[in-house]
Amino acid sequence: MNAYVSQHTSEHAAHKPARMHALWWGLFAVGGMTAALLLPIHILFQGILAPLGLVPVAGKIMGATGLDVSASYESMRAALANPLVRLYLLALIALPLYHVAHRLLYVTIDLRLGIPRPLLGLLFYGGAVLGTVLTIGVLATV
Amino acid sequence: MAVEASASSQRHAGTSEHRPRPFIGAFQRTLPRTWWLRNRNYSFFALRELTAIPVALWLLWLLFEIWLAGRGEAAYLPGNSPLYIAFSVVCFGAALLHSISWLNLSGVILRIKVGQNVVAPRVVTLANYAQWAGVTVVIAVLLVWLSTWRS
Repeated sequence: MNAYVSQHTSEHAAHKPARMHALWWGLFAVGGMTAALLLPIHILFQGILAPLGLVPVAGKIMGATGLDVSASYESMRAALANPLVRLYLLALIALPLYHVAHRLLYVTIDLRLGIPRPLLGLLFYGGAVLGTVLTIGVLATV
Repeated sequence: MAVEASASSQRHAGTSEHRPRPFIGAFQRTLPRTWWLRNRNYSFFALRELTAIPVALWLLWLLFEIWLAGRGEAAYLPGNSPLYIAFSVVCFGAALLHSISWLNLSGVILRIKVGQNVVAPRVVTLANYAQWAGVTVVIAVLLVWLSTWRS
C-alpha cells in the first residue's frame, strides 16, 4: 500500500509476543544448563579416564590387554535395561542440541556469511529436532 | 492514497503525534567479518560460542556408542583409541569453558526473588557451582557403580 500505513502495520507486528523466539530461547537455556552441569564429568570419565584404564565406567571397561569388550558390552546392556538410564540419556543428549543450535545460529549470523536467517534457523533448529528424533529412535530400539 | 493524504494532512495540522518517519532499511551495518579478531573479548566470545561444536560432536559420538550396543557384542567397539582420547580432551576443554562461562553468567541472568528481595547474583552463581559439584559427584559414582552391573 503506502509507507505510512505499512509503517503502522510493522509497528503493530513488533508488539506481538515472539512465541517461537521464546520457545527456542527457553530450550537454549535448558540445554545450556544441562550441558554445563552434566557434560564435563561424562567427558572426563567416559572419554578420557575410562579409555586410559584409570576408572571403569558403564560401557567402557579396560582389561589387562586393552578394552574388555565382553564386560563393557554387558555393563552397557545392563545400564540401558533401566528405563531411567534411557530417559536420562535422552535429556543428556537431546537438550544440549538446542543449546548448540542456538549458539551456532547466532554465531553464523554474526560471521556475516550472507546466508538468509530463516534458512539458518531451519538448518540449526531443524538439526536439533532431527537429532532429538534420532536420539529417541536409538534409545527406543537399542 | 486517501489514507496517506488524510494522515499527512493531519500530521501537518499538528492534530496527531509528531513522530519522525523511520527509515526502514536505510541503516546499513558495516561490521566486518573479522570483527571477532578485533580484541580479546570478542575473540573469547566467539570461542565461547564455538564450544558448542565439540560438545555436539561428543554427544553424537555417545549416541553412536549407544547405537553400537544395540547391534550385539561383536559390533560393540566403544571409543578407546588415542585419537578418541585426544578428541575427548578437546571436548572436555570446550565443555569446561562452557560450564564456567555459563555458571558465571547464571547469577546475572537468573533473578530469584525471596519475598521482596532479589537474591544477589554472587549467591546464585555460588549455588549453581555447588549444584555442579554435587551433580558431578553423583554422576561419577553412578558411572562407576553401573560398570559393575552385568546384563
